[in-house]
Order: sequence, then C-alpha cells, then structure tokens
Amino acid sequence: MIQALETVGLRKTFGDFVAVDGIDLVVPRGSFYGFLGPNGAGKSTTIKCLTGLLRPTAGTIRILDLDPVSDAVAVKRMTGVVPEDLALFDRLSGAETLAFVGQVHGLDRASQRQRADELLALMDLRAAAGELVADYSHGMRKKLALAAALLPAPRLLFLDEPFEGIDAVASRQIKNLLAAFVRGGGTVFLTSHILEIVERLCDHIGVIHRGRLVTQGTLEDLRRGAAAGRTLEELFLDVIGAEQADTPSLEWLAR
Amino acid sequence: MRTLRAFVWLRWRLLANALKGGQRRDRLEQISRAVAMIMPLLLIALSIGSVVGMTILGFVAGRTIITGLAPAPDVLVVVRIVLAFVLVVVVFFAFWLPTQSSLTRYTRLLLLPISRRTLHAVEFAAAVADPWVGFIAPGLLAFAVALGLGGLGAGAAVAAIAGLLLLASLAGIASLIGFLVSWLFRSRRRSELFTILFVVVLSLGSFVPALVSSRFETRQRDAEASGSFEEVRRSRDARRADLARWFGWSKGLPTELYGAAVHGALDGRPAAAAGAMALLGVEALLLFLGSSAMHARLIGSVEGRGRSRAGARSGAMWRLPLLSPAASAVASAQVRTALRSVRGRLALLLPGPLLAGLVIVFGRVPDSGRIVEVLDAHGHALLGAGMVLSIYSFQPFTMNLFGTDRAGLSLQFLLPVSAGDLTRGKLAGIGLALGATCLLCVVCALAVVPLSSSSLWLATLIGGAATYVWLAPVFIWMSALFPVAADLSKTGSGGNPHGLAMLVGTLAVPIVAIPAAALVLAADVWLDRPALAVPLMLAWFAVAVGGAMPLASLAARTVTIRRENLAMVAQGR
Repeated sequence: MIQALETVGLRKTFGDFVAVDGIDLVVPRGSFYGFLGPNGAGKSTTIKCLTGLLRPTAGTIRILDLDPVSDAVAVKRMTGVVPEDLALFDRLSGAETLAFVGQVHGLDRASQRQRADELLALMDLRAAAGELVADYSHGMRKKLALAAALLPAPRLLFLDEPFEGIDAVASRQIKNLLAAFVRGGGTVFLTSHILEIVERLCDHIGVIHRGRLVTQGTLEDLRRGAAAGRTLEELFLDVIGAEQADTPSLEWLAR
Repeated sequence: MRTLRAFVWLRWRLLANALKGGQRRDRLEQISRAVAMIMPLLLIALSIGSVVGMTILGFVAGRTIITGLAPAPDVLVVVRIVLAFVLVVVVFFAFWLPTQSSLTRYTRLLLLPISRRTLHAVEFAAAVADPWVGFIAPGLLAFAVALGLGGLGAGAAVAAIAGLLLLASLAGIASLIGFLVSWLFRSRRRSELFTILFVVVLSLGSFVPALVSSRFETRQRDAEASGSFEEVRRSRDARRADLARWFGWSKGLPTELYGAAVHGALDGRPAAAAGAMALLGVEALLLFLGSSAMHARLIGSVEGRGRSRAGARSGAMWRLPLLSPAASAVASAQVRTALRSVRGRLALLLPGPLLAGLVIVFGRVPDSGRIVEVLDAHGHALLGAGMVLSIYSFQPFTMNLFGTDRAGLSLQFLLPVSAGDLTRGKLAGIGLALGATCLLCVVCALAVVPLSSSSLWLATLIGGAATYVWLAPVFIWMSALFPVAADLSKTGSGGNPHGLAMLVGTLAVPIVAIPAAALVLAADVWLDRPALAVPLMLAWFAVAVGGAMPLASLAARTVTIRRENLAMVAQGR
C-alpha cells in the first residue's frame, strides 16, 4: 500500500547538534496522524524537513510516493502546510493571500474566489478579508494560514500546532473540518501540545523525544500495552519517561 | 533609588542593544557579529572619554574667563555652540531610540509594581542619565566650579543653578519626544505614516538652507553690482534682519537661556540673569508637565494595530504577460508588499522630488547658468540620474530579494513555485515598482526642465530598463548569498540588506549604467542624431536580455542550493 508519508532514517543536524536522529515515520493514507513530543524534541524540525524548508542531513522521504527533493513542485501541489511561523505576508490582505495561493496552484479565478469566500466564511474572517495580515490577531493569522493550506484541496495536510491561539468556536469548526477532510480520503499530519485534541482526533500517533521516534502506531496499539483507563497524557509521559522527581519544589512560593 | 537605578540600566541596555543590531547567521557575517560585541565596550570607552573631555572643557572655559584669556561673551559663544550641539543630539536620539526598541516595553513596565506617576518621574529622572544628557553634567559643574574658584561667586551660583535647570530641560525634551514617538509607534499605521513624513520632510527640508543662502547671495551680488556702498550696506542689514526674524525663536532654547543667564551674571546684570533662569525654570516645568501628560497618554493607550479599511484590499493577483501564473502571483505579491512598506514608499516617493529639488536649488545658485543651460538642452540626463537614484533607493529590495518577505518567503517555499518562477516573479515585481518610481521621476524632471527631445527621453527610459535587466543576476546572487531578515517598516539598519551586498550593488549600478549613458551621449552629442538613440538603446536592451537572462537562470540555481539558509532567514534565524 502506498503511504501518504514515509521516511527512512531521517536525520537532521545543525553543526554538532542532532535535532532529528534517524526517524522512520509511516503515515498511512487517510489517517489522522498525531506527532507528539515535548518542547525541543524535534517536531518542528521534522515538519520542516518533510515540507522542504530544511534539507535532511541523511535519510529518505517519500510523500504520496514522490520524492520531495526531486519532485518538489509536484509534491507541493498535493500538500498544504500550516507551519510554526504561519508563513504569511504581513502586507497582503487575507483575501490577497488566498488569491496568491490560488494563483500559484493554478486555480482559475472563479474557483479561486469561490473557495476563498467559503474558507473565509468558515474561519469567520470575511469581515477582515480586506485588512492587512499585519493587523490580524494571532488567532486570525492562524485561521488564515489554515485557509491558505486548505484552498488548493491538498491530499496531505501538515499542521504544526494548528489549535494554539484559536478560540473555542473556531477550534470546533476546524476540528470538524479536519475530520471531514480525513473522512474524504485526505491525510493529516498534526503536531499539538493539546493531548486531548490529539486523543479525540487522531487515529495514529508518533512520539518523538530528543530527536528519536520513541513510539509509533495506532492509538489502540499505544493503549494496548498500558493499563486500562490511561489517558493519552499519561501514556505520553510514560513513553518519554518524564521524571517528576527532577522538578524543583520552589518552596519559596509557599506562603 | 533602586527603581531609578533599574531604569537607568534599562535605558543604557536598550541603547547598547540598538547599536549592536540584529543577529546574523552567515559565516561572513559572523565577523560583523564579533564587531558588534565590541560596541558596548566602545560605548563605555566613549562615555568615559566624553565625561573627562566635557569636564576639562567646562573647567577650561571657566578658567579662560577668570584669567581674562578671552572675553566672557566669546567664551560663552563656544559654550552655547557646544550646548546647542548637545541639544541636537538629545533631540535626535529622542526621536531615534523609541523606533529601535520594542513596542511592548511600556506594556511590560506597566506590569511592574510602580504607580504611573512614579513611573513617569523615574523615567524622567533616568533621562538625565542618558549619555548625551549625562555627559554635559560634569562639564557644566566644572564650569561653575572654575568660576567659583576664580572668585566669581555670583556667576558660579548662576552657572550651577542654570546648569541644573538646563539638565532638567534637556531631560524634559528627551522624555517628551521619546514618549510622543513611542505613542506614535504603538499603532503600525501611525508609526509608518510618521516615519514616511519624517524622512520626506527631513530630505526635502535639507534644501531650505541652500535656497535661503542662494537668496542672500543673489541679493548681495545685485547690491555689489549696483556699485553703491549704501546698497551693499542695506543688503547686509536686510540679511541680518531676515536671520534675526527667522531665528528669533532660538533665544528661547534652554541652551540659549543658560547662556543668557550666565552672561547676565558675569556682566553684572542680575535682573537679566534672574529673568533667563526663571524662563529656563518655567520651560523645565512645562516640559516635565508635558512629558507627564504624554506619558499618561502613552501608557493609557491600548496597543492598537491601526486596522486598515476592511474590503479595501480584496483584489485578485495580476496575470502578467510572459510570466507563468506562479511567477505572476509572486510579482503581484512583491509589488504590493514592497509599496506597502515604509522603505518601499520612500523608495517610490523620494528620488523624483529630491532630484527636482536639487535642480531648483542649482538654478538659484549664482554662476549656475551653465548648469541650467546644459540641463535645459539635455533634460534626459536628469531623468537618467533619477533612474540611477531610483535603482539605488530600491536596494533594500533588490539586494535582499528573499530576506524582505520574512514569513512570506516561507509561504512561497511551501507552495509549488520553482526557484526560477520565484526569482522571475520577484524581479518583475520590483521592476514594476521601480517603473512607477521612474515615471514619477519623469513627471518631476519635466516639472523643472523642458522636454528637450522625446527620443532621448524614451531612450533614457529604455536604458534604465536595460540597466535593471543587466543587474538582475547580481541581485539574485547577492540576495541568495547574503540574505538578511530585514524589517522594511524601519528606516534604520534593521531594514538594510547585507553590507557586502549593498557595496556590490553600489559598485555594479554605475558599471552597468555607463554603456547605456554612453549610447545616449553618442546619439545626442557625437552623432548629433537624437532619433538614433531609441534604436541604439533597443539594441542594447536586447543584448541585456540575451546576456543577463542566462546568467539570471544560473543565479536562480544558487537559490535552490541556498534554499535552506534562505528559509531559516525567513524565520528570522
């Protein structure tokens, strides 16, 4: 079966620092893949390697059975990305941003406009469509970045912390939208610190810690080996081996 | 006192950080980082040197009066000049520093357990410790001490009190302007408008002294030509009267009031000294109250982002001929983002009017008849100069094609845009913006010189386009090799390209422009067939396209190779 995403021995170093240490990801088509890890574990670096923003030091990547290095443009036609820094022009309006993305993807003007209108309405950005992105709040930017990622109807979505800074209403709408996207055959590769969301949305989980993939599989696989009733948060802490004993007591805070 | 100490430290730290500039990641730039590390040490050395120098200067000035080496009024002229210079420095830094520090500074200060009134008082007092204010304090003190040691007790007392009031006034000016500028910068649109107006007014205002001076010189020359001594005397009197009328307000400057107070005391006119000191005191008080009001307004204002009109920018991207849809989209985005930035607007607005202003000033300078004649006959030369100036003014974009988009570059890297389309689109976009600037140059040039020959003007425009095409590979290579995350809302170094890229660009422009200029010159002067200039220049343009395009494609490969580095610069790393 062709996977939506597959890496073999993916490694990325910055000088002596190893950010990603030979990980083998397997993301099945039509899956909702949650990529978890503590801060600095290498999640964003991995996403940047997968989306072409960083060049892997070693290893191979296949996205929708294509090589993202030699077939970069073809891969990008089939993927949508909401990166960590949101990747938006400050001095384009929301509507212009979507028009830009649509034109780059070769959409005709009518479909471009129709899709943009629907996405702006869904994200509750229609009233602010003419404002410059520089004047958007963080949440508005995030919603616009998501709209830009969805506009070309990608087959694989990379989302780096998509729910951070998003209000509850929009968050609910986006969750429904993403669930529908996966039901329609799309694949989502998502990183998030909000484990409740990951638990509710994702059917596949990968956990990275200190640059290494410490576990990967379906949510059921992950639960199978653990005691009954364990939440994803507890499982996650077990997997990365977080030691509570290391936490300073901060006794001076007590009155 | 602890709070005051913390604020003094904060002001010095912000200054040192502003001098240090942003982080750079290129290997070549690590040298400039190392140089930047020296800045705080340099600052300390300069500070100590300035304090010692000012103290010696103040003491020597006082001793010169006591020993009668020079008359007191003459010594005071020097003191007033030094203080006037300090005043200019105070005003400059008061304008400049808030534009370099974080806008969230005041929000952060508000969270501290300090009342707003105390916050203002401490900020005001801390302004006295700013280097440009603090440096003169020992000098003023030494001046008063020297007068006192020399037996001029009254003069010393007045110098000391007026010195304190002067320091308070300078701190007031620094605070008032600093708070005002910080308040302006709390809104993006307000700050950008302010920056544009500031730079435009400063640039065009620089012509005023030349215009005034040429007016005086013309009047003087006419008077001398009349051969009448009376006329010459009258002309000089009129000049003096004009200057006194125009600069009468300067008597109210704190530094001048300080000079007047000390002069009054040394001259045995206590009433004059008291009057000047009283005025200085009133000024210091008004500045304190003004800065307090401005401070209240600043910290009371909600950090606004100055929303633009909704619906105003909902237009689609353009489809440009000869470019793919992706390159067209990149070009459209480039034009819009460039011309919506402070640097872009200044690059668009300044070259034409600046050149026209220069021509007007030249026209008024006596003996400028020959220059005016040449410009009247060869007005296209002015247009050519305007186009070269325009290319230079777009250097923040051309020499840093990828660092100016910041997060927008990440978006372009994540979308299906090839390196070729990206560079072609960017160059087309900047070319369009540059074209608009050149058209403004045409309008401004036509306003001050006649249209000598439409062929030559057209040829000059084509020559400008050819120059731009020749420069395209240089733009791509320099931008790919030396990218810098630039903030184009800043007029300072934060919006500049890499120093080396700027240097290369500065040298490359004349080298590439010379053949075009030579062709126009050949058709106009040597061959005396202006009509020939257009076909000649079209041929040169074709050569430029034929020669530069393969080089540009080659340069685009550098973009592919340097993609990761560029992506990291886009993320501000």
